Amino acid sequence: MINLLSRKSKTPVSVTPQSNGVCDAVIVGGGHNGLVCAAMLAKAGLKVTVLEAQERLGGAAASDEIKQGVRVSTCAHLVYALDEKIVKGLRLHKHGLQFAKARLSTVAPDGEGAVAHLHADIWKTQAGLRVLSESDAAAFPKFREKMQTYALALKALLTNSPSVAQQSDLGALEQFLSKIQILNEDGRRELLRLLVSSSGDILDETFENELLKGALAFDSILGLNSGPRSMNSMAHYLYRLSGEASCDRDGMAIVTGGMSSLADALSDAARAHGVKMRTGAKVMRIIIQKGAACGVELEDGERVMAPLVISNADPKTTYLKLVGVEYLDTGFSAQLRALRCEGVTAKMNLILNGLPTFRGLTQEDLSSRIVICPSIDFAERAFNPVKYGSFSHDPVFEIIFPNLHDTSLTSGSEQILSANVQYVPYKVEGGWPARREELVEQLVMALGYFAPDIKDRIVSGHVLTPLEIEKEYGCTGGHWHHGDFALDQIGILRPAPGMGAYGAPVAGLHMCGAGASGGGITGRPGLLAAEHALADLRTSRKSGVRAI
Amino acid sequence: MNKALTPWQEAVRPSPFHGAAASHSLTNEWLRWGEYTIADLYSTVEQEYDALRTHAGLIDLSPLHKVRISGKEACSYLNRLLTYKADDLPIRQACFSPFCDDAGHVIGLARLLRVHVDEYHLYTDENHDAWLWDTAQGYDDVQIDTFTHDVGVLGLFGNRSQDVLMALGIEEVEDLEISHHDEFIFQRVRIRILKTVSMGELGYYLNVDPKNSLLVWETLIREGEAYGLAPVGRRVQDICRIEAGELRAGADFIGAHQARYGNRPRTPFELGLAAWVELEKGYFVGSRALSHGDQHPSRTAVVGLHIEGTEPLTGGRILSKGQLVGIVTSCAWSPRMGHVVALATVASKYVEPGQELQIEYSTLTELEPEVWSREARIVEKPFYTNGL
Ligand SMILES: Cc1cc2nc3c(=O)[nH]c(=O)nc-3n(C[C@H](O)[C@H](O)[C@H](O)COP(=O)(O)OP(=O)(O)OC[C@H]3O[C@@H](n4cnc5c(N)ncnc54)[C@H](O)[C@@H]3O)c2cc1C
Repeated sequence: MINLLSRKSKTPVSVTPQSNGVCDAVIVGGGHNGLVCAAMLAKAGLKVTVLEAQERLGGAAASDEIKQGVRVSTCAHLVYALDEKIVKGLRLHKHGLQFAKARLSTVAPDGEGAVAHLHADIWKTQAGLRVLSESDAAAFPKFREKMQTYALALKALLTNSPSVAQQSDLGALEQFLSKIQILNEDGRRELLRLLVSSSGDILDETFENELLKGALAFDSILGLNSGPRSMNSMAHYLYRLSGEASCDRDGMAIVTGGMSSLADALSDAARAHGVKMRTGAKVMRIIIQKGAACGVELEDGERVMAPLVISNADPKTTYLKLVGVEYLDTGFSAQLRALRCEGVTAKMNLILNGLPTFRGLTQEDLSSRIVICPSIDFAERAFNPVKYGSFSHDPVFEIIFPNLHDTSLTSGSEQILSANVQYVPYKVEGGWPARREELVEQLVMALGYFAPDIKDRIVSGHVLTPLEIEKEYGCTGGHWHHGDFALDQIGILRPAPGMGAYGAPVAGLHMCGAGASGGGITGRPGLLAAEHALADLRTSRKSGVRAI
Repeated sequence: MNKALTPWQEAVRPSPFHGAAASHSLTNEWLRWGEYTIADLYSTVEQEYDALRTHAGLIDLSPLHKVRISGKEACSYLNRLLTYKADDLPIRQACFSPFCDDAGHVIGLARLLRVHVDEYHLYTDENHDAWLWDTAQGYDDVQIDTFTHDVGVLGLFGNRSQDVLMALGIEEVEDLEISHHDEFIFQRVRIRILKTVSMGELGYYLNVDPKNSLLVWETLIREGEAYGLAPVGRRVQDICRIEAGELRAGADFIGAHQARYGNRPRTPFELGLAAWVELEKGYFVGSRALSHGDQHPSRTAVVGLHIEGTEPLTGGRILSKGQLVGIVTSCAWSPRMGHVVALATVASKYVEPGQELQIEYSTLTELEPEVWSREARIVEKPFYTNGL
């Protein structure tokens, strides 16, 4: 019998380790969030098993050799919001996590020679912006500071912390409103206004330079099925900032060895805490008895029983496929069916025979994050086609050359261009296999405007559409966030109104993936799910009954 | 040409028995039930009440909403939909069950008939198709089709109802048990007959193909005459179901989907329907909410009231020591009991029989509002069951 004493509560959580392969918690999916959750629970003394469908752990935190001797991050490529609590709490650096480069700057060329530079350091940014606009340079520090204040105030609402999620959604809203009392009256009004504004409008009223606005707007839409003129873009911008605030020290960072090294560090940490991890173990069903989850069933019929089931799979997969509607309330399953989770971000890796030349960028600039989004209108125009089942001819890009920081990635002289590209729809008119080649050509052509020699430098490449991301990484719709980050699908409304993210509605079943509280390589959904599960365990042990 | 549409325009259709029923109507008092018009009163309350309570009453129930649910997963679907156990219902039997929304609030009340292994018929007072379809999402093999208009339904209730059917030559009904149903042939016409209890009387539901409706109606009236059978309208049915303590959606409770105010919907427990909630059967829609009984205690209860005086006081306010504690939801003068009976919703601490309460209600008398007060007492329901 292990006694866990939470620092806050004096109630011990007693967990009796179970025999016969039965564990205390089984985690469906070994994405980075599943691993974080597993490690945290194991650290608290639980016996945890992770079951991952794919042959490797990490989910979308993945890297692979796409050509002999060339290793790329096949999905996510930048860490900008990995929670410090996780890095420290799991001692990830000790388990091999290294950043080839931290506090990455951003450069945003307009293709005609002008460039906006955004550095981790506000004052350096301000100095650089003077070239574009004196007044924008003057406004920038205040804008940043203000946004950071609001992002922090919003954090509780946007990320469903357990204290919030335990309550009903409306109770959580009240708690949130009471929390933002730290802001003065004008501040609270402003926060509510920002929440329902488009980033386009807010940037327009603050700045004048189109390039700067485009570069800032980019972060408000990356991963989102909306444009900078959509109402939820500002809320998303604040969400992203709230994440960045949790990893202030490292800022935006490139993981040495590619994203899978983060997965390796996490699984190493998890293993050190006694977590059992199995790959190639696809969960087909979450077993429900007396209304509560009590284990899972694998493809071959094998059952892994545990009083706590935590799912890293997306909400639709978790509830509609693995639990099944026969165990769900009608209203709830209708809400889940309505969850919008079609991604619009594609991944492109190009292997080049040398560094390309971007108009307006120096060689040194290529070690920054390059954002291709010269104006708000450019981004909004790029968004338009996906509404109608087509892809952008002039998409927005986020590009890095990871091998400039990490020589281990290539054995020869190749250069890697790693890009997140928007907007590429999940479903395209005419179907994906048929139009894939056209997409790839289009992406290369669009990039050619900014880097004219790119086409001649391409040795090979690797493109994943959202449909392929869905297949490859097992998330419905292939969405960055496992469910669009829209005003009606965030915070207390995520993944469904009234659900409160981690607990309800099926007792013993929690969610720990991006669908629970938001995507990105943050580890936060995993961390919060673990905290929530432990809190739940504490209450049910105390009352002696298990809530249905 | 553009036809002007009014916002209240809806479908109206005659019941398959309308022509026959109309020829019996001495009052021409009709009312709406769903898309249909049905008789409110054919002759007089006394005559119809007497027919139903001492002989046999013939009731047009065709507006009942009827849905066929079939397919391999029909059984598990129904078990999820309904609060009562549906999966061990034998073929040719029927049961009653509420069905609830996610929050455990009653949407409606249903009668479920199992017709074949994978086929059921579900009867409700109102159309709940949207909910039935929503609940079917995610099943591979459940078909839902509404056949309300394809089948006419007659209710035949009262002491002599079995005799009437026997007189028609359907002698096998003698062996039909309560809550059982079967198909019978009558003059080469196939009718499904369910034996059941309603309004405190034993009786039958007869499902009739609309093209045979006149034949069946006329034969029943003709052969039934010797047994005192008479057509009975909605008004008398209402008196009888109040006497029997049966709730009516829209009158004694507001279905969860009709309610616009947060405190209006009711759990089956609050409606006194606990016997039809099988929390032990495993998951069903609303079960999670309902099993959190300690967190959501019943706030109200449905009780029977014995009210002084002779006027029905539907809508009357129930007071205890001057405090508002409930509302009269259905009320009638009961010929059998000789006093006014009522179903009422009261705060849950006022459920004990014997409690004395006051009913206050107002009327407009010669254009002046007038407030009345009557003494009332909580009593056990049902008030009357005809020994059943
Ligand atoms: C193109 C693209 C680029 C991105 N780039 C970045 C970036 O640069 N920076 C950033 O921070 N974020 C980025 N993201 C977002 C980020 O990758 C995700 O939000 C994050 O990886 C989600 O992590 P997760 O652990 O919640 O889920 P996932 O990584 O999706 O992991 C879920 C895991 O569950 C497994 N699983 C699912 N079903 C089952 C089952 N039935 N049985 C067993 N296992 C199952 C899956 O195989 C998978 O391993 C990007 C996303 C996309 C789509």
